[in-house]
Amino acid sequence: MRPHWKELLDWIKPEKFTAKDIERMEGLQPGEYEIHNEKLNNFLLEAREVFIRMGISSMLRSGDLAVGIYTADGDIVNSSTGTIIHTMTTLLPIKFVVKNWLDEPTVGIKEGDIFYSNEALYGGVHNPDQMAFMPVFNDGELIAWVAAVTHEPETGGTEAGGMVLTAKSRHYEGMKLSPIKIGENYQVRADMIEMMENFISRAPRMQTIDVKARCAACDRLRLRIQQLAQEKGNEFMRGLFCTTIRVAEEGAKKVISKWHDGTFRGVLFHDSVAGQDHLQRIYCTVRKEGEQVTFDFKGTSPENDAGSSHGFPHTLATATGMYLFPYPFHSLPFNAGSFTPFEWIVPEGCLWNPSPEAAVSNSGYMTWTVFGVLFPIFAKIIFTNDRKTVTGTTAGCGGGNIIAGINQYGVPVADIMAYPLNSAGQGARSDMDGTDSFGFAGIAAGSRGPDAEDVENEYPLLHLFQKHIRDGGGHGKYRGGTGVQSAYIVHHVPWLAYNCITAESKLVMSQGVFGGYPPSPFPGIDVRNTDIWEKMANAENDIPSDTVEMLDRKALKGDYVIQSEARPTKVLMNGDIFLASALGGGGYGDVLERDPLMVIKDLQKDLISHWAAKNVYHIAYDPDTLVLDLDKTAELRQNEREERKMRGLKPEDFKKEWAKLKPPEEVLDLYGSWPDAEKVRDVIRI
Amino acid sequence: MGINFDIDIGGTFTDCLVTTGEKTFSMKTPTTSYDLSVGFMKALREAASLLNVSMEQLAGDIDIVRYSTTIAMNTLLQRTGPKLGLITTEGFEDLVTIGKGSRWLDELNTKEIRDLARVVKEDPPIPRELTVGVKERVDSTGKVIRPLDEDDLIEKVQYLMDQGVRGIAVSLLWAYINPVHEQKIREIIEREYPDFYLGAIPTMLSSEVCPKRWEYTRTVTTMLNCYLHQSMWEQISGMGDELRTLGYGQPIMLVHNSGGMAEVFHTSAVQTYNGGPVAGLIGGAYIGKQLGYNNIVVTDMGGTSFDLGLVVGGSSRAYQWRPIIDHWWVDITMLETQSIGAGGGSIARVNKLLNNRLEVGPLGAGSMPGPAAYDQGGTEPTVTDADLVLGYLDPDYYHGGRMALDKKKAEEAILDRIARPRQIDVVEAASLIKKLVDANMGDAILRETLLKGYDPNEFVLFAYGGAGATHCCGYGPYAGINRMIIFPFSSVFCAYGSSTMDIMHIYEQSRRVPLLAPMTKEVILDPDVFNNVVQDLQEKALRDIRGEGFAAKSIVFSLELDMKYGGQIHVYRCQSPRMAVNSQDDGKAIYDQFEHEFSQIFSPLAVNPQGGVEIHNFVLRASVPRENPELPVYPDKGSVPPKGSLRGKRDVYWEEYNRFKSTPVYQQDLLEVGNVIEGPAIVAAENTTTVLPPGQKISVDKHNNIFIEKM
Repeated sequence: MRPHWKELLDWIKPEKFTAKDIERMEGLQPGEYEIHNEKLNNFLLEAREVFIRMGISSMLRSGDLAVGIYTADGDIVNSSTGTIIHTMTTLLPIKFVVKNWLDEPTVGIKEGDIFYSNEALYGGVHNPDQMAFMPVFNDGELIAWVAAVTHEPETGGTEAGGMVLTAKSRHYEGMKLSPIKIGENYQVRADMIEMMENFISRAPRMQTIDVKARCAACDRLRLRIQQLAQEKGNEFMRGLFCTTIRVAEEGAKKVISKWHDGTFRGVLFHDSVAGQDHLQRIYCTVRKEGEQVTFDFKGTSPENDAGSSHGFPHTLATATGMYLFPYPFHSLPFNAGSFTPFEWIVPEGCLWNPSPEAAVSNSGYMTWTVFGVLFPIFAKIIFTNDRKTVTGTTAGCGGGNIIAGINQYGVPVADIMAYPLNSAGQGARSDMDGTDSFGFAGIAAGSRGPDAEDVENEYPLLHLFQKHIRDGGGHGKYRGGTGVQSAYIVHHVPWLAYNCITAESKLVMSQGVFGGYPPSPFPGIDVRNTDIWEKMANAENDIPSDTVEMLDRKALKGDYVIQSEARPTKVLMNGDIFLASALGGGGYGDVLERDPLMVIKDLQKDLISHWAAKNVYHIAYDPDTLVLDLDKTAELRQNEREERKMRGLKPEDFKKEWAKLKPPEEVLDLYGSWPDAEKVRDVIRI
Repeated sequence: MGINFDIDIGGTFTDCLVTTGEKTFSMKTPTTSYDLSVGFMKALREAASLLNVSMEQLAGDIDIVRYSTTIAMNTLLQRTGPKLGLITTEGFEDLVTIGKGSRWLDELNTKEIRDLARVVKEDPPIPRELTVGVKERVDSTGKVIRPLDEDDLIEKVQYLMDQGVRGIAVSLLWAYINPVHEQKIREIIEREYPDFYLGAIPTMLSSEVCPKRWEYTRTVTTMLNCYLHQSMWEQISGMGDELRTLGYGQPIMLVHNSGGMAEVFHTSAVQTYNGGPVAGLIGGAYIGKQLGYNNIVVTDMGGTSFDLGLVVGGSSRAYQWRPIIDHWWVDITMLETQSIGAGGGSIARVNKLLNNRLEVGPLGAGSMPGPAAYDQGGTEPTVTDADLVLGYLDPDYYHGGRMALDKKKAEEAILDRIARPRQIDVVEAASLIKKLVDANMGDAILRETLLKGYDPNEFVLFAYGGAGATHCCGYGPYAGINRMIIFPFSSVFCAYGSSTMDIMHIYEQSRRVPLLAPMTKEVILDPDVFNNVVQDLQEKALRDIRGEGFAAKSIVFSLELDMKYGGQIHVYRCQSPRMAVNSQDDGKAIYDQFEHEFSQIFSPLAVNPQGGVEIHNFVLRASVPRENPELPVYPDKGSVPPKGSLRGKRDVYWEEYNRFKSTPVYQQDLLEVGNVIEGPAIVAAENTTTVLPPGQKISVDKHNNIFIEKM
């Protein structure tokens, strides 16, 4: 019964319109689509607010969520802003339920039912992403579905935090619910809540409240759709839904038809699996012809048995939407119609199409590799016809820093540190810098980190600092937005478990475009056995207030551990410190073309270092007064241009030199064959 | 004679309403942005002239001056506030610039938010380079774990002084629980820079301006308050001095965005932001009740902006969940209103980058130089210029003839800036300007109603402001609203609104108080803690309101509580059924009220008492009810307007006919109850002009209000 990956990929695209659908669409009066589509948008906004205000986990509160409206068949009609990959992938379990449970007498679909799922094999990204969905009936007829989805930072896996870094197969990853009915008659069943709390025993209260938040958001959306259906009738609603899908499909085709035909390639490397240094390649070829676009991921590294850095093809397909919807498709409705012109080729056995037994709980981070690779590809595709949408990559994914333990009130907790995660820098634009601490790169439409006081009130932590990363954005004519660095001290309690999930540590996934630099990486840093409390109590004045100062001066006593940003679970003791970060965005254009005054402004705001001003941007100024010497700057920049010419190679010489380069063997064991990333061994899963 | 003097200073005009008991007078004078007291005194002079008394006699007879102002908005929009410094906890110097990540969400509409490639963050009023972190730390329990380093502080304050700051905002982590370091910082600044030195500057503490949880909104609220404070104080104290010199002996009451008002010394600058529109909303709700309307879109089209608010089910008391001032999320209790840059003074221009696309607003010409027709040096065409060219406005009867309009200047501006570039004639260009500004306002109404799940069809529209009557038949029907009402005092409606407001102060204190125990759901509310917080707030209220000259027994208290289920983060504000707690039953009553409201607003599915229930913030509302004016009732005189009310005819452009047509012009104050006028027609009043297109009709109701509907 479990759907095959090809079936899931097919389900992403909308069902074909029937003659009746066309009749319903034609029945809409002029202006009715515009007015009522706006109404649907407003329903979604309202339900999203209900969701945010009800929930508890950091990601939920940050806005890493979405609510969606679906047709009776399960096609997505519209989604709120937010993490639209959630609502896109939720159409799959809905379609599964419609296909399998509608006529199944032991299950069935009735008014007031509430369904739930968090198993990526049936749709969704990975099992931390839990989705509630409800059928909407009017006059006894199933007319729609509604869903509310968000990431839950705990699943009861072998490591806290839900994204089990060291999972070697699905059996390490905790609760995985295939689509299941958890409520009837508009009530959530207590036995189902009990079952979930039993799975999620590290943070049972969070699980219960967030399940209720999902259900409340669904219910609000259900109510509004039902009210509209009572006023306008079921035929109208179906016509409205189909029209919305058709408008998106036609709009997508119009946008695509303006792009250049051709073949465009991009490559990314992600550098850690299970907290160890391993290089893997994501290779994407985009072929565009007329109104059709194919994403071909041949050349991507094979699946492995070392960790959970995989994802399923339907996740990859919807992850392409994470780039498309907020950028070239930003004016189109978020729905399945926009996916009609696309095809995805994802070879079986690559890390984006592994065995169903593979661990995939890190696939959330793996989606960064998909939309991350698309920024530079699309910079080339849309440069001449939509230049204002061109940006350096915005994929500074930041670490998923997870804490677990007993908080200062004696309550078991497990959560992700959402501030650094939600403050990555944006890629630079063709006409301006990227936005500093822009938000969560994977969310279409912004997200908010919690206040430090909010975190310190709920969790046994104290922030040592939380500020922009100096030199964090990719340099360029326009600078990539910088990210954020946070340092947390374990406070109030004797110990706290900690781990960090990410897909990048030494090689960043955000790339510059047209000569812009990538942003700087940020390693994993812990300081153990510190004297921080003593120094604070003594009001000592050399306590560090940023990472570079901390490492340069080492004013704090303790054991400094600098490692991969991805860190398997460890126990930190009271007074130990861990650092977290959200990375910057890629730069745009040549650094020597940057307006020297903008460099000075960056210095004033502490966004770049004097080193970068002199050695990257080549400007001349008085470091005390920041008064610029424009003549000298012009001279320095001309000198640098001459130096570049000296360092330059002819293309054929460059190719020869480049071909000699190869990463160390020890990081290539999961890569596949070098350099083509072909499968070199079988993976046996038990 | 007891006189009420209500005044609303808008971006373009200063509106004034004088109530003597039996009679009400209204007047409108140009806003004098360079010194608001000049416009204020001009209005007072006109009032004295109308009442035929001297300025001194009038000032001595005034019982109350109620005042709403846009000083705060203008200061922020134009960034004319002083250069300030911000002191925060070391390591958190970027907390405002980061703004919890996507701070740009607070600045943009949904369409803009979805276009990620174009989002930007506005620079804060206190730039990053004037923000310093000091070495100190308090933890979540309020315990000082790193004492304040005074040497470091002095060095950093000296840096700010060297940069020329004229005020300092201080916002440290956890200062609302333990303000000791903030207080120490002020003490040191005052010691180092005593007020007898020229360099002395004010210092504002977050623990006093906004003693509430979460450092981002607390810091932003403190920063904005500091930024607005000086210009506010200078303008209002100047006005107060002049009034007192004339013999006025009562306090000046300022309209607050919470829907209440308070004396100037008990007002924070941030509370005055948007006071005018809020006064209009309160007035709309009050008058709606008298007319029997429960669902009202209250719209105010002035010279600079178009403001709107909703009255739903008779209530205007919808608070903004994320109150935004300019581009900044603050933590104050503020009524929900919306504003866009569309008014009589909105400038029309062609966007050459976008194929000569016509755009109207949001930039406005203000009152100086104003529209081209003012002939005060303005050369850019505005909505008022278009209205004049189309014949809607009478160049000889603008503001009752006290301000002549130059039609030729209006035509020249439209010809030069719009018609020529677009290769159309002047009239077509003027008609396009009107259509576009009407559509902009109609869209704003659609967003506000639909977003909240309301059907605009179910609403009646109140149109006020100097240009509301001129344009409501454009923007109302665009939004699907076909019933509109214009009042005799429409042009000064916000000033009328303030006359219907009670004296009201809001006091807030964040305090975490458990109400129900997790799992057992047992009431564990500590009566002493609850009652002490409420009593402290009540004492503050008594002190303030007595200071404003009102008796303690006249004060009516009500209490709201920000509450949540255990583990939740966001609070819900519910009405407390008890002012004091003396038993378990009182605690249970509070919970029952919370659950009832919570289930209705969100969903019964989200109710979770087994997680425990906590109170997080106490909001005390202390009001002194005032006697509100009743609308006068006049006798029915039949459907035919009196002969004298027809002022004559003039050529007016109607889109429906695509040409000018000779159109009757009526005098509004001569129309009588029961009169019916069919469009097209113009109804002129001293400070506004109602434009009635073909297909619509006017009926004058028993209060002399103009009711417009489709024929």
